[in-house]
Amino acid sequence: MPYINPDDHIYSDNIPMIPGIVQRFLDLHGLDAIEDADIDAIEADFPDFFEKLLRILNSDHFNLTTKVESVTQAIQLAGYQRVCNLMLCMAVYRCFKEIPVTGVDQQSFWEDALRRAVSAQMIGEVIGLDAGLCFTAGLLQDMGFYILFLISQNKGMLWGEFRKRDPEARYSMERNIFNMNHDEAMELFCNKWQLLDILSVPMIHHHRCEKAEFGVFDLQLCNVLYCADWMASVYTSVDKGFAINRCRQLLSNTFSMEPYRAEEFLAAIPDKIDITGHVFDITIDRHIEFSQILYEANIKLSEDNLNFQELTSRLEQALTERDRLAGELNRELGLAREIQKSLLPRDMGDDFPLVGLNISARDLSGDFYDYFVLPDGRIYFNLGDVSGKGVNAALLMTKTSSLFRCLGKRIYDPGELLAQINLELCETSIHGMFVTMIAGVYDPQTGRLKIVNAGNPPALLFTVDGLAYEVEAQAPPLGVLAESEFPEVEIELEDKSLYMFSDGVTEGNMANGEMLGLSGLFKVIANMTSDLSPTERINRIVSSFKESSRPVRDDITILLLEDQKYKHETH
Amino acid sequence: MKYPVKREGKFTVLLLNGEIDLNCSPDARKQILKYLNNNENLLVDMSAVEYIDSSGVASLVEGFQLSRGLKLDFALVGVSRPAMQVLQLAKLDKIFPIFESITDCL
Repeated sequence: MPYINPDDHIYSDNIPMIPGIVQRFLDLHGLDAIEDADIDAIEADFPDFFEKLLRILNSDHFNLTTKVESVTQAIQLAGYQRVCNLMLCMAVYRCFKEIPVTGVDQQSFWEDALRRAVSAQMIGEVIGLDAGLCFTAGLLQDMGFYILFLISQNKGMLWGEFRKRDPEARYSMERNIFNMNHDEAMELFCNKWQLLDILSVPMIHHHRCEKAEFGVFDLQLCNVLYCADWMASVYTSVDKGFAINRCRQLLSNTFSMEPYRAEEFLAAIPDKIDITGHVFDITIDRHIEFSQILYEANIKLSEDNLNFQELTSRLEQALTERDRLAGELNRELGLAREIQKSLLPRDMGDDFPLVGLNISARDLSGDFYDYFVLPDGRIYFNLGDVSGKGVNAALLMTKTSSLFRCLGKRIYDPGELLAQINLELCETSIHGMFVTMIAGVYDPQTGRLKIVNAGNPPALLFTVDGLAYEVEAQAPPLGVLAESEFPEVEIELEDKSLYMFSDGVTEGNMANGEMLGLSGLFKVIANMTSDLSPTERINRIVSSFKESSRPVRDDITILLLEDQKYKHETH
Repeated sequence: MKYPVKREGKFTVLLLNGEIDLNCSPDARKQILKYLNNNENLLVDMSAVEYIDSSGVASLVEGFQLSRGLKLDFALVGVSRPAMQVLQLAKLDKIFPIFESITDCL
């Protein structure tokens, strides 16, 4: 009894007691043989019930070969079990009719129950199961559903909502609303009324046929009941097309029936429930032909098709719009990239003391370098790296490099120039973004230079003998602290080479996966022969870590200051 | 990602950890700004930071700039070696107030 809890008696109290007539029939089961006198004794106690029972036994529904005068005679003709099942149907109907629930339309409940009963009966006839048993099980299989409303009397107003749903949707809704399912309620009912396993096991498990452990016969009836549930729902659920298709599927998959059988069965339901309804005194409110159901299903189908077409069309529009926006964004990025590149100085040839390279990790770069000649022949240069990456870094890079070019034409001291740019950046600081920069002025006439390192990795000054000196940062990056000072360092460059670079260079991965690092960069530079041109040497540095299979993570920028005039003089 | 926080005297202590890179720095930034905007004196415990990139440093810079504007205390404590190298390289170790331990700040 997997569903029963010790507290279930609270729920069970809401289920009506087993009626005397049912109890009397059940008592007969304990006997070795049922004597006519036993039945006659019951008849004497329940004459009204037997009169009604006899009427049904003689109706087209029960389909006896000859008219019978008594229940005893019917048992002789049709067997005790068949008559007993019919008695049970009557007893349950009569018993529950007396206990209405506010909001629950009893008439529609029994109408649906009849649809399940005749559906189960029809399938049973085709697959060779006891059709009478199928009818009884079909009629009573969802008593648990009614019992749920008996247990929670205040949920009656949801009856209509349940009825609109297909069996599975209704089953999930039960769990949400009642915190239990109708099969659990059904189990309580079967226990209280001591129904035989042959009936109760398939009825309790019809929603979970595959999970129950029972015999082949039980499984077959269980499948019949589940299918009957769907067939009845064709007449009540909102999505009739879906329910019809599900019936076709179930009949085909479970009973290997041709799909047209579903239509046959479904079309036969209205007439059959009219007849059985009349026999059992269950009023059928309105005769609904299957053609009407098909008509409604087709309308729903065409509405769904329209919705689907609309959905497809909207999706296509959205995808086109996305492609258009992506194209626009790409064009914009392409333009931005072009503008950024135009901010980098053009290559002035090997005789010019400065040569640079910038490789961007993304579409836009946060690194930059620049150089330009002042009216007196001195050359201003810089290399910068904006914190972060992407468009915001690129915009700040553009701003900083423009400030440098603009202010650099009036302020010849690099320390003073950086202080001015720093003030400007601090004033308009956003998201703590800052710029590391190494900048200086080189005088080709004297071979001397003044340089400022603001938070940038150290520049490496190499002598012709291969000795190297680091020009470390003396000041924080630009844009951090307005009152920062930017001390200049004076260097005799002459025949030496000054390598300036962004942290993307030292943090680049080599072919072996290791980071190049400052010492690695030092080695690469020291190992290069002096006959390589400045451009060739920069390319050599980049190639030392570009061979790595890992993508470039950060922008890479290198600027080399080397005056060939002094080099040649040395040679 | 949410970084752990605790109270120590008049300070809120934010424990940054792991890699503070382009992916994680927005979370770090959000928390730093939240506490400062809430008028809390903030210590950023960086003892468990394994790596910090420029976007992570920018979050600290923003916190530093905001604290100055709001006249609140803002300091870095127990800065791990890899994080300290980044700060030293950029001379930012001379900008941020840095303490070896929380008790040094109290």
